[in-house]
Amino acid sequence: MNAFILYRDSEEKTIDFYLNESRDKEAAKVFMKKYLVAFHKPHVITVDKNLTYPLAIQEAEGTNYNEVIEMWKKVVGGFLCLLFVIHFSVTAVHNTHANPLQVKYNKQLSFYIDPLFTQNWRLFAPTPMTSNNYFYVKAKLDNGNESRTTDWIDLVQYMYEKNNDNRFTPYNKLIRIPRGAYALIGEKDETVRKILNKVNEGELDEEEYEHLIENERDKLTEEKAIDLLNKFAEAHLISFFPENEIVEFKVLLVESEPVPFSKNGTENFENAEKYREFDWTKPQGIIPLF
Amino acid sequence: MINKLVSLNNKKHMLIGASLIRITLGFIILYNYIIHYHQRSFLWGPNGITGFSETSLENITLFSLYNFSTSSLYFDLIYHLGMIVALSFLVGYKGKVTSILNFIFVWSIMARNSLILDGGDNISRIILFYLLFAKTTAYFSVDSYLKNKRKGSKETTEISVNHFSLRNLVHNLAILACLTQVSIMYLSSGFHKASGEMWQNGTAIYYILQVDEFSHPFFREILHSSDLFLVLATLMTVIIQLAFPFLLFNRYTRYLAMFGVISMHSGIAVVMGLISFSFLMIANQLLFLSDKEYKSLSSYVKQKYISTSTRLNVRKVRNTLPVSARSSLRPIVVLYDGWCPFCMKSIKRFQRLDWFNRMEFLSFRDKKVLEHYQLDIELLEKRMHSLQRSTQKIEDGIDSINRICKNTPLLWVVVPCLSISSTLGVGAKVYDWIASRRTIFPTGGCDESSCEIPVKKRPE
Repeated sequence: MNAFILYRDSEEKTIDFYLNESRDKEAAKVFMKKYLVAFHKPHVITVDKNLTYPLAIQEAEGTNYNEVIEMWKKVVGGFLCLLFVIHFSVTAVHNTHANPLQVKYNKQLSFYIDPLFTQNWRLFAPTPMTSNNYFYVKAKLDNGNESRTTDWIDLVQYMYEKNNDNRFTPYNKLIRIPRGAYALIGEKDETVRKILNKVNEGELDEEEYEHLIENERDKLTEEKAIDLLNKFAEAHLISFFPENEIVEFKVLLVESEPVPFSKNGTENFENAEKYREFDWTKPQGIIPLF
Repeated sequence: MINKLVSLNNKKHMLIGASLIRITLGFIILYNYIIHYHQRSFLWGPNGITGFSETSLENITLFSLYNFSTSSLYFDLIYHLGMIVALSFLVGYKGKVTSILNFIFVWSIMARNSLILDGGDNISRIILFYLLFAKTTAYFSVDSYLKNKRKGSKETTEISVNHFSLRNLVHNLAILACLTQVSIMYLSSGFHKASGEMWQNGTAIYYILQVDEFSHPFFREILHSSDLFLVLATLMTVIIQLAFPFLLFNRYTRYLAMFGVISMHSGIAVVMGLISFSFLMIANQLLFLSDKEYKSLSSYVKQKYISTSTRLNVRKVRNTLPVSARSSLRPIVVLYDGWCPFCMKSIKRFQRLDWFNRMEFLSFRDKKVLEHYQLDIELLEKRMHSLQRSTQKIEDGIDSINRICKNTPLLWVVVPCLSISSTLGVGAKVYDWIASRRTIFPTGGCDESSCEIPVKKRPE
């Protein structure tokens, strides 16, 4: 049995030893490997005259270097896995139905999720849209000689028909614009809506949830929604009357309620209708739709 | 446990699925660019519906390449560049750089106009982000083609190394992120639906179909005529969505989950007309099959293709042959007992129903036939035999009857029944019982002095 012995220079005290059948390169490598880790590598190694030692030390150093890289890779890998778990935990909580956890950390959740991971998977839930929104526009036109006011011109029904004839046309997405724009009015996150209800009922402190209430923002959103509707109508008018100057115009919304399930199949059922007439507005120089 | 997880990381998973989703996403992005080409300025341009006004400029919070200038020329430049990048993404050219650029362009166009977006756009945007970290050009891409060309005919094999690979981990986590995100999407949507009154009482689809944007008069009329369908479809939608993540844990239930989701979205595409939404949602399912599953699917399709093309070739060759020679090339040969009146009667019926001339009926009492096929006469007397020419597979008894039925469209209805009875062993017993009681009249095979009549051999 042969022995490798490691001394410390100054005190000549034995630090470690290793017993092995042979004193060859492989045995030397095994013994030296743990002392060649980058953090506490010795400055000088003094060896006897066996020629295999320098080679063994060189190789052991290489192995250790790879092991260090390997270790760091595993640390980074572990960190990535942890990040993955955290990311999807936050995403999962963000996507749950309104609950106390979501209410409490609403601000933090939104800060993390928006805008890169913004998502909403309600998809026709909990209450799907059931009514038909028909939009019309009326315009005051001037062709240089005389001015006239048009009748109410349909803005969406012709699109529905074209979309029904062929689903692979731009109408497939264009039909979403007016409803999407109008839906901005009063659109609020489900959690925020619940908080507002509780604030109104006096269950929650108004000051604490001020950042969610912001009536000023609602007003701006409504203005934006109406502006979008007007632009949609204007793009149509420019396409319909390219020769005329559009002096001003206004949009009408007719909301037609659905036939209740109990009345399914009833002939000549008259759907209840609601109307909303928007204010006269001036054109903004929008590009024609067609 | 940890070792198992580490060994899972020895290779990149779902490379085929990732490549397929790259193609489908690239296709739909390009489709949207092209289909809205004439309305592009109205939808996303500086003077369009979401155009820049003094107030809106202040409110811009989302980054978009389109926000840097109000010039129409700049807008068109970015739009056309977006198209080129989407095309490069689709064909898988310069995978990493293109996927980053494509994400930026897609993000930019979505940020400009959210009015026309839907859930499909939402999920595709998130998945495009995760896919930035995945290898999506391993298959069906220009990159992989060029790589193979560079390597020439050298076969490359993936060597699993003991080292822990961060690259593999990043790819695998990216794919897992896509799968998790899709699962969260269905679970969340299912929960929201389950909490809605209309979804609970099964009337949601009835009401949605009344909205002109999301229905078609033709389908509305059909579907509204059946309360049963309306309620079932509504409840099934909730169940499919809620169950989706939980069905993924087992291979066979995963197929069921995928089938459910694909059926649901196909229905949405046809009835509600949400084309790009449904396409994207179905495309997401491409990620749920492993490379191994894709490869076995591909070899199955190839096998089918080969057998079909062989059949077609046979038909082609057959058509060039004289009528007398054609029959010898039919894909199925049935060897029946020409001395049994009952068998002949049945065979005549089968021949009448063989509309596509797929079967050739030969009596094994003909010595030439017997010599040609070299089958044991005793076995042939006991049971009718059939031979598939393409595979040389021989079947007998009830399986032969089933083979005839499979090749006779009018008899397809009895195939499941015969298959089950054959598997259970009942079919064979019934067949043998009938076959052993048939009457045999030797014809043609007799010479002047004698006839050879097969008799039942008694056990000695």
